[in-house]
Amino acid sequence: MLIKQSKNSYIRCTNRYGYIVNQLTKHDRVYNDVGANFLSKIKRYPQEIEEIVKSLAEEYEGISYEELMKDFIDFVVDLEGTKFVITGNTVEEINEKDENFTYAIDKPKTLEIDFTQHTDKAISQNTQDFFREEVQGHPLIKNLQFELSSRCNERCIHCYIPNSKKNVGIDMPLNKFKEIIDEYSSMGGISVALSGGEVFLHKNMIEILRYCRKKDLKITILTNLTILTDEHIKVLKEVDVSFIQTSLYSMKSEIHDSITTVKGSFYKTKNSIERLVANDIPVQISCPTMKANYRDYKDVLLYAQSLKIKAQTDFIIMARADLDKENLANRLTLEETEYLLRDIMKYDPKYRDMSLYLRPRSDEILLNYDNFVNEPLCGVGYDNCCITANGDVYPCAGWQNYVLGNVYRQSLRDIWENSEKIKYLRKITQASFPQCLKCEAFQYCSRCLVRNYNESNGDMFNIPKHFCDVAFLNKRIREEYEKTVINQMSNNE
Amino acid sequence: MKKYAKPQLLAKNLPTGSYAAGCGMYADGHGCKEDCKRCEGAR
Repeated sequence: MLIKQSKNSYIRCTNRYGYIVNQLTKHDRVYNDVGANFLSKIKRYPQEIEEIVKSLAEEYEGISYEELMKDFIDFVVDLEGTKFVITGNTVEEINEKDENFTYAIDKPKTLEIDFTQHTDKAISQNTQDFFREEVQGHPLIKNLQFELSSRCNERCIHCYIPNSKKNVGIDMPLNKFKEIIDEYSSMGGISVALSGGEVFLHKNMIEILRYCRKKDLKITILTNLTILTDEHIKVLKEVDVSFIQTSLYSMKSEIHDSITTVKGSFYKTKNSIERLVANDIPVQISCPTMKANYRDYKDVLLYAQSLKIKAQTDFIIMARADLDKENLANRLTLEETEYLLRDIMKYDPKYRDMSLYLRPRSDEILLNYDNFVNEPLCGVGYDNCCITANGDVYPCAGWQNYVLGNVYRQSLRDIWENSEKIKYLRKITQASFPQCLKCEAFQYCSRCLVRNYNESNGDMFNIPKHFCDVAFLNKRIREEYEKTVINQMSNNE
Repeated sequence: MKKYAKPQLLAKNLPTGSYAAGCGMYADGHGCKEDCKRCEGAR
């Protein structure tokens, strides 16, 4: 019997744990040291299971070959059930079973919203929580976002990147990119998010994509899709990109173009989305809602649905990375936000259902309050960071003004492990916002350091009132809905 | 030679969610990164 790693899964192992993630199902798992060793034997090419078990038998004492074979088979069967690995009697059979992403199924991942992993193994710990505990003292960087080019061919009115930066036009040199990727891989990195500016303006984009594939990295691309060529599509297919995310603001070209401030951009982006779908390349739409388009977002959602892709809306606009707040003039007022939220509740049954079945974390928090207050606020400084085209390393998207170091002067590892600023961020916990812990709308709010920083003249602890108001609004609308449902149920009885 | 113990599953992705107003990651036109699953399904 032969085994190989699915083309959609990525494996990283240390001597303490083994991690596997599947970009198609979005499932992931963490195993102990022996599981890590089992995982590390599974490669992207088919191998005889017997040969793997023989090699394991040479490493361990106190276990027979037969017992080891049984354990390995159990391990593999469980992994194969959720498509992390593939087995078969021949190379042809294995390759045939190795799935490519396709829209030609009822619910491709681009449409799916439930990525819950069902296994018969009783396990209660979430991967994110595992890594939070595991990485205390030695954080593992899992995702690196590159601003490959500061150039952009659009000037979106709400964008957090200052236009002055887009005008300067710096591209990260290919050699420097490769050097950073080599180091990132050696640090155990798994995913890269290629962004800009507009990434496809980078003249080496094709080599960059192929290099990421060579280094076995999961690739996500953030792009406006206005300059996508047929050659790009061919290479995107070849490197098996995990996701492409693009922004479509309205199905009315004049509204979309008024947000990007580039005439004709709507048709270019829409056309590229459809070409990607026709080529079975996973794409999803983000539809940030602001004054210009908050009455039009539904058409974008319907359009996305017709293509079997998701369109995510969000009404939280973040101030610019250089602390300029001019772009916030496009943000919805509280009244407009209420209109939008009520509209979403009315229009989207999935959102309505979600607001009922997704329970807030309150019970979990009350049960283990001491643990909760010591939890980090988010993943910042723990599992991801970003790099600008000029080599500045910063903690997360939008926080370009909070520079941790520069890869032209230091190694990425040095910055990640020793930057005083990142060490400071790692000390920030839920308890750093004591007023929030007591707040009635706590469960309806996401505290975000970058949003605070950019909008509060560089104070990451100052929460702009708008975000608190929106949290209370969310709470009110959800509670009203819950009451309506309860009344309906009692009337039916 | 290493001491053997059966391989153990320590963690897997579980559904989580909050009533977050939005994480801010995809509010800026750059899209949320799919690796973050905290808010998955909350919006």
